[in-house]
Amino acid sequence: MNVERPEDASLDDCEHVLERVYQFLDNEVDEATGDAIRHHLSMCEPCLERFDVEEAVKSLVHRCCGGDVAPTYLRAKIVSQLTVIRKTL
Amino acid sequence: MPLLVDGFDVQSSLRTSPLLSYVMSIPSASSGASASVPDSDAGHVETADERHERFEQDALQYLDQLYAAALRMTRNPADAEDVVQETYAKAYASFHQFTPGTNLKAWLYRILTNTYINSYRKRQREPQLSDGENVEDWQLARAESHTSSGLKSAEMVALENLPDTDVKEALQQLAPDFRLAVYLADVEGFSYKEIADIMGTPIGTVMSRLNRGRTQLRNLLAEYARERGIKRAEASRT
Repeated sequence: MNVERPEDASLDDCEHVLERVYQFLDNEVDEATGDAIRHHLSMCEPCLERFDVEEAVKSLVHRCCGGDVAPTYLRAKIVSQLTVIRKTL
Repeated sequence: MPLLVDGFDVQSSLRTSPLLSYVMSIPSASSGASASVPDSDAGHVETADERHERFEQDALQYLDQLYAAALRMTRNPADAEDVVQETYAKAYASFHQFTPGTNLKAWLYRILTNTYINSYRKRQREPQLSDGENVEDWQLARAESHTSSGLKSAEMVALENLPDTDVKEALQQLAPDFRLAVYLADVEGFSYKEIADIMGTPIGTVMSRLNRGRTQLRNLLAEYARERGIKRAEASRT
């Protein structure tokens, strides 16, 4: 597949960037790597599109999959359980 | 006489559970510096009352978050409640081993994860996607070309407008280890190091689980978005 690639140093290879797309998204790359990836994304549309999709999925999961509230009786149950356990310790 | 709390034999399960001894052996994740009891009064030993109060104050604030995580793990409210209750019982019993000033939330998540894996997952027989254990990561990377996100820009819009229920359902379909890794990273925002500690695996395994989990998730969501797009197009035609 022929994709236009930016002519640049180190992380200019799409494959390398895509390998690190999750680490980049999760803030798990060092500053230099992050800069190199940002630079690549600014010049390579296919990689940027891919990054956008991954970012969209991550924020969807963040928005939709948490936030459940425990039923109120569960808290009461746990608190009374702790009191019971305490007597056994 | 055994001590029963809602049919849960606290005394004997706390004393004899191999789980608990495992939890007890969790290193206190101390980073060295801040290993002191919050009471700065030198020579003051924390009383049982004070520790009890500290647990209620510090640990119970994570109840909703732990419950949400348990719900994603077990996929049903009754089991989620049990896992959370058991987690708090174990955490309370080994709270003296927790080092104040270190990450309490991650410590609780670790106990939650152990509880789920050891006593619940075995019981649950659920259909889910293969974890593709025998496929190497490099093969996945190779199969993933630029355009393989399979989403055109109209579909990206559909993706971002998916209802919560679709996204939850897609996450539920992942294999448990993938689902948990994605949940811990994306919902809770834990670092790779913290997820590795919580799941008891090397960081490389965490990265691999995130990789595979997210790839499956993206494909599922793309499918949902496409289906909804088709339905919408059909509805507007009639």
